[in-house]
Amino acid sequence: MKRIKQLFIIIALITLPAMAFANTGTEIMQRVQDVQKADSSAMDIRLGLIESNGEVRERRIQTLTLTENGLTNTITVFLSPASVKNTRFLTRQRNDGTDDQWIYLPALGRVKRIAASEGSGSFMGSDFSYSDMASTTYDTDEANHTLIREETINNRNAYVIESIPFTTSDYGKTVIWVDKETYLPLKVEFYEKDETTLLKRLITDDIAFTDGRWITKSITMTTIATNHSTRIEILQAKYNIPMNSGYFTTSFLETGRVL
Amino acid sequence: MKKTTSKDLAIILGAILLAVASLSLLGRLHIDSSTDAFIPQKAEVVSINNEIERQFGSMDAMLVGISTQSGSVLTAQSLEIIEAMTVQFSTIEGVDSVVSLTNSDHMQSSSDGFEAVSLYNKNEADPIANLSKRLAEWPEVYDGTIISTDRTMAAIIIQPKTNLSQEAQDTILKELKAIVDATPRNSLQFSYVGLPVVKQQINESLMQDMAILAPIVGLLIILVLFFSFRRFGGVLLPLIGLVISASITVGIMAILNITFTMATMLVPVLLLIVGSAYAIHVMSHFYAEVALFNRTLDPGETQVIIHEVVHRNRLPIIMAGATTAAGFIAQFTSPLGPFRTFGLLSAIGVILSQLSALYLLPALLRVTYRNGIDPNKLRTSREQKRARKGGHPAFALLTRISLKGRIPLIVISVIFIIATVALVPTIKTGTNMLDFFKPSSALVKDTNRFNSTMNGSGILTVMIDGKDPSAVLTPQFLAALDEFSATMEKLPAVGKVQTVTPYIKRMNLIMNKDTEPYSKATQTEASFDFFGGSFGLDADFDVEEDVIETNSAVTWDPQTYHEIPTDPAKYGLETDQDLQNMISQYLLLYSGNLNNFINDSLEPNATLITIQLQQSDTQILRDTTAAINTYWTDYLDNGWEYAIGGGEAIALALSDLVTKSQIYSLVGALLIVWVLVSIIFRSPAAGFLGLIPVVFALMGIFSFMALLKIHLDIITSLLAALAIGIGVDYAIHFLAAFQRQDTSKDQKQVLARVMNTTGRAIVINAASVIIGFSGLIFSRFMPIKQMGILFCVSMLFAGISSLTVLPMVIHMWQPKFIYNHNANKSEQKSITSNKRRITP
Repeated sequence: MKRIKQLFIIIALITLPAMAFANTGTEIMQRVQDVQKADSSAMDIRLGLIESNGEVRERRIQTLTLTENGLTNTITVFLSPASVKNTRFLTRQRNDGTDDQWIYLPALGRVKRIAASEGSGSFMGSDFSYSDMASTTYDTDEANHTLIREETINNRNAYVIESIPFTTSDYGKTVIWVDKETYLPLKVEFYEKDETTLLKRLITDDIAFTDGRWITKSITMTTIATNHSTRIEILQAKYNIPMNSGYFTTSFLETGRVL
Repeated sequence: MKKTTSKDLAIILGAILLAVASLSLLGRLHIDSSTDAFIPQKAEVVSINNEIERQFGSMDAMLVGISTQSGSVLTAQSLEIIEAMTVQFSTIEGVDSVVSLTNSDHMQSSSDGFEAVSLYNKNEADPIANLSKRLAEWPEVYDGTIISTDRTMAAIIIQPKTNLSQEAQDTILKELKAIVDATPRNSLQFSYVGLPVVKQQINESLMQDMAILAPIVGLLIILVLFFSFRRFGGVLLPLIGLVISASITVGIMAILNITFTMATMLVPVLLLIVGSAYAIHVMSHFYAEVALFNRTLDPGETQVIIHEVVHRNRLPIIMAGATTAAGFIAQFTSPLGPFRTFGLLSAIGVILSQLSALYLLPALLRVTYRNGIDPNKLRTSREQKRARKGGHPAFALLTRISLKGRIPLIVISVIFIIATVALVPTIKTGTNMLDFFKPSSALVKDTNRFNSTMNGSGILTVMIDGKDPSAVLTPQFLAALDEFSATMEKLPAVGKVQTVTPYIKRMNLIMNKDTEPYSKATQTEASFDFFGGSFGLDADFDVEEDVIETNSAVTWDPQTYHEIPTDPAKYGLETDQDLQNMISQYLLLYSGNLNNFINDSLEPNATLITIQLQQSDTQILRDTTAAINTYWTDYLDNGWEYAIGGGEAIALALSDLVTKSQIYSLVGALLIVWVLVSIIFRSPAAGFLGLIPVVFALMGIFSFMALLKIHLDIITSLLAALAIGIGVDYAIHFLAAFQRQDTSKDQKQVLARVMNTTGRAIVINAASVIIGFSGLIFSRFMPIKQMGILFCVSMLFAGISSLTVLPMVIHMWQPKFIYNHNANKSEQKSITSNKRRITP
């Protein structure tokens, strides 16, 4: 369950506005990290799971995120596929940093509290592995970031930053192309522990200026070995909007109404 | 004279250089001796397994068993070791996932919902008791998988990433072993099990085996040469030729990038043995010719004798080589690639051996005896004595048996034929790689122990595809899947059937055990859209209320929810579709962790069943496969498909291909040999006579296979065609010798002469081949060892039958191609014409 929450952290990571100029790897990544902050956000997301034979399976979810008093709460509603439509999932951050999680399964008509230990594996059969993504070296205290070069990618100038995590993780190294103008990652390569074998490649397919900020509209993660890929599209996004905290309650989860 | 010597030196040097160059390419040889190398890539089972790997991930798990001699592995100390290993294993490059007692999550119901807790949490109070309690809660998933039912063995399951090369898998195994070796044992025992382990062991042992077998066979050939000629030259000269032709064959393998498989590995060893027969022919004729003289021969005379010996032996050697090569070439009919490669390489090798015997060996002889030769140093007193006596008593006995023992010989032959026909159907086929190892080997012991304690390491998988999204989540299908597991688990060899159903049943129980489904009023669902309408403001969603009647609470019993939900009413639902959606929602809670069972985390159209087998011989695989086919053929509707895969399915497919290959190559070799012999003697009757020792060799092979319970496998199936190719040589020599005789003379005399000359050569030839092949008994691989035994048996039968049954039939039948052909011919024709030129 924790993975679902992590998905939104990742999406938040890639939908951030540009900030001031920075010139070392750590500074650049700090900027990427700093500009993530938003008190509230709403997102409408489509996931396309693309098989190596080209077959595509779609999922659609909407999320609301609200940070109050330094604590972040998220609610996710599954819109499709039809079998899980209206499944709702609530995460509330506690003061100790851990999360309370509840799920509402419409077929069951009940809210169930969920307590799950951290796991690994892919999110909803996608190429995004969220226990792995937790070590995506964006965080400056998690990895050593080095600006290795600057280059042009898809007609955009980018910093190329090599991030090597301090502690052993599922990746030995990531290489990130950060857009100089927007500070959005344009491309990320995830390497095996040997730091030379490419495992996955994340490509930013589309960026847009929406709701007063630059956001990544579409990204595709490809697992090199299986040639399986997942495209995440941000269909709609809103930031720093007034939001009723009543959405983040088990009552809303169960009834679908803000009391 | 000088010109000849420099030509000879050029031949010798050229051959040596070629051999050295070939050996320098040894490092380029690519080794793959798993049975995977044998199965054709276009075989259906290969594409099924590829599709399964694509949809459900790698199937070739490596297992590390941790066991205690007595008591339980569930102790803090053992668990600490398991935990440390689990962590270390998962850091090995190429490892996709590691599952053990210490890193698994346990699903249980909590006061107001569901929780996934660590199966083993050493930080909680009384962790061992909690672990035991959790294991007991969900035995259908844990028992036999990560812990044995009797708790004496735990397993760590290491799943490598898909599409890893054999080398990469071998590296993982080496690192696993290094970690285990560095771990304090504390009276625990560790075992390595699984198909990748078996493959790695084969690859590792193959070169070592080759390194042991080649010198052993070489030594045996040296012994044969020594006892045949009792001279240093008689041993060394043929040996140089043999080593050179075997080396060049290895070089050809390296240049053509031919994979070094268990079949092709035998080629150099076989060539040493087969090639020695040609060299023995040339050497024995040379020494025999020289021995006819009483004085030292000058260099010119020696050269003439060498030329004459080569001239006389050219045709027999080419004929014998052609038939042997034919046996090898018959492998071209095989559906198995490495068999065809084996055939091609061996045929090339035989030609090289022939060239070596006809060109290199004479060159070596000319150079060695460039100063002439003294025949007195050659003859042993025993040979002289025997020559005076007029032959070995054994040959006199064989002559008598052939002429007078007609009825006993026919009776024995008929009994032998009947026995073989009766025994052949009892021969078992099998290409189980584990059977390649001796029962006393650590690998076999480990696997047997693991299989008897856990669910089994043999894997058959069944992929069922319903085509439509969520097709495999219909309650009816899941119930059928559950019943399938129960049916299969009744079969004696099946340890466990793993499917998605225990996970669905467990979630169903957890979600429904605390509260009765729909015991209170609820409302219909609104269609949410945070971005529609007045989102972001304090406004409410407009939800239309529609109260559904509650379900009766009378029948509610929490424990009845450990089931595949099939009754919508029991769950307050209306349709099967509602139940199917509920199951999809359960799957959401597994967050993609069931990818080994379903091909989509929410709406799978296909599911994978893994059947763990504790034994996997061919008959068990056939029975299990038949049971799978019966069940799903009956159950599945039109449009649904199922396919059987897994490592054992490869083994089964290979067994069938090996049987097919055996039949094709047998028929092919018999046909080619019949045609060749018919052409050589210009008579179809000769072709049939030529097949007599061959048929006896085959009967020897197949009856002993049945009696010694040797399986027809990827190695032993190479034997029949090979035995045909080598066995027919005896018949050719024998028939040719008969043709040279004046058959109008007394039959006994004629036969006695043939027996003492050609018969003797056949005995030496058979003995040398038998002694050479007996070296294979020292192989650490069972099929190669068995091949050695069977080949010795077959040559024994071929040799004996060609000296008893064959002359008996010739005497009875008096075929025209012998009796009308040569009334005026004399066996010594060429020699006497030759001797006229050199005065003794």
